[in-house]
Amino acid sequence: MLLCLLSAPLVASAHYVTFGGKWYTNNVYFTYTQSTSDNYLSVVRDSAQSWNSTSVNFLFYDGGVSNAGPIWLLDQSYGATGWSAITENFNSFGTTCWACTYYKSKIQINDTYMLTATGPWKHYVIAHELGHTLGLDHANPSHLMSNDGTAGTVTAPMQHDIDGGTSIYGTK
Amino acid sequence: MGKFAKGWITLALVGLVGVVAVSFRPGSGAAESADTFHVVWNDSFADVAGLTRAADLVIIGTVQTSTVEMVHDLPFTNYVIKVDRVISGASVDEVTVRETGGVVGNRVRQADDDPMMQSGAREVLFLRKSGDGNPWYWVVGGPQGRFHSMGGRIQPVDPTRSVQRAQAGVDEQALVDQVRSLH
Repeated sequence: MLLCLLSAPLVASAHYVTFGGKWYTNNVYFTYTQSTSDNYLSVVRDSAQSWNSTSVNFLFYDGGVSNAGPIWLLDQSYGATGWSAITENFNSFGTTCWACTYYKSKIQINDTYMLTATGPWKHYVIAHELGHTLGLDHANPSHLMSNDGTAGTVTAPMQHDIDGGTSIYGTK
Repeated sequence: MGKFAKGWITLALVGLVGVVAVSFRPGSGAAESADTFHVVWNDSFADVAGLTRAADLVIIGTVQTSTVEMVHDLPFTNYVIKVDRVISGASVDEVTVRETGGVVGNRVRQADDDPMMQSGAREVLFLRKSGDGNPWYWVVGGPQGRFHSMGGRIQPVDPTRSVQRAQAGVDEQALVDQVRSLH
């Protein structure tokens, strides 16, 4: 019974879905490779700030160029994969998980598309991926965490995304 | 207290500690049979017409063999697909289709909405050439351009997508006719 209660994977409302996990703290810094700094630093900082400026009781800090950050961003040319970026969250053992306590996240950016993408698309992608690091799953209709039709029309958290974030971390 | 009783008490305590440790272990989330990552797909397709326009080749095929290649710490799987039927595009007997994810060690790493193809599965595939000189194709829109075909009926790979849901239960031949009518 206890195992079942602790491992409930999803919490859904009408407009947001959470994975059922969260960070061990409300303050997490992000770091990035030199290449990511060169190519996307302003977008990453803007996207982090777009979450920080909401009422979600969580703060992203800029940790500079390093691979040691709890949230680590890196970019590579992965080819015409069809995706712009992917995110994985990890528990304290370094195992990928979503319904658990997070100790690390990794965001991989595909330069094949992102280097030439529009500004709004880049902001949508990075802010969306930061939403995953917080513990937010895809949810429709259209807002930042949507994966069906939003496509660059939203570049920062909207009310449903914020509601999802505050349901996990509380309100500032 | 006798040795027998002490033994049972010790055993019970060890068992209790074990249960508590397992219960509070981070990452004990249920139903995580695979290590999943979350993906932002570049394109969102509203219907089969959009998938068809974006595809160089549309086939019905059966998954044969697969090989995994690591690229910058991320697995990619190349599937050899035996082409049972070309719906649209040049005639071919066999194609290689590349999918993000794969089996690494004894664990599967895959996108949450794009499960890895299974050997022997019959799939309807909307395919796009790699475009970078590599010999493989990618599925258009990740999970959006792939449908299972089972018993002559179409089943969605990702039922959260409207383009996939719309084909659920459709007769395989009806989907073939729909694609061909677009040319």
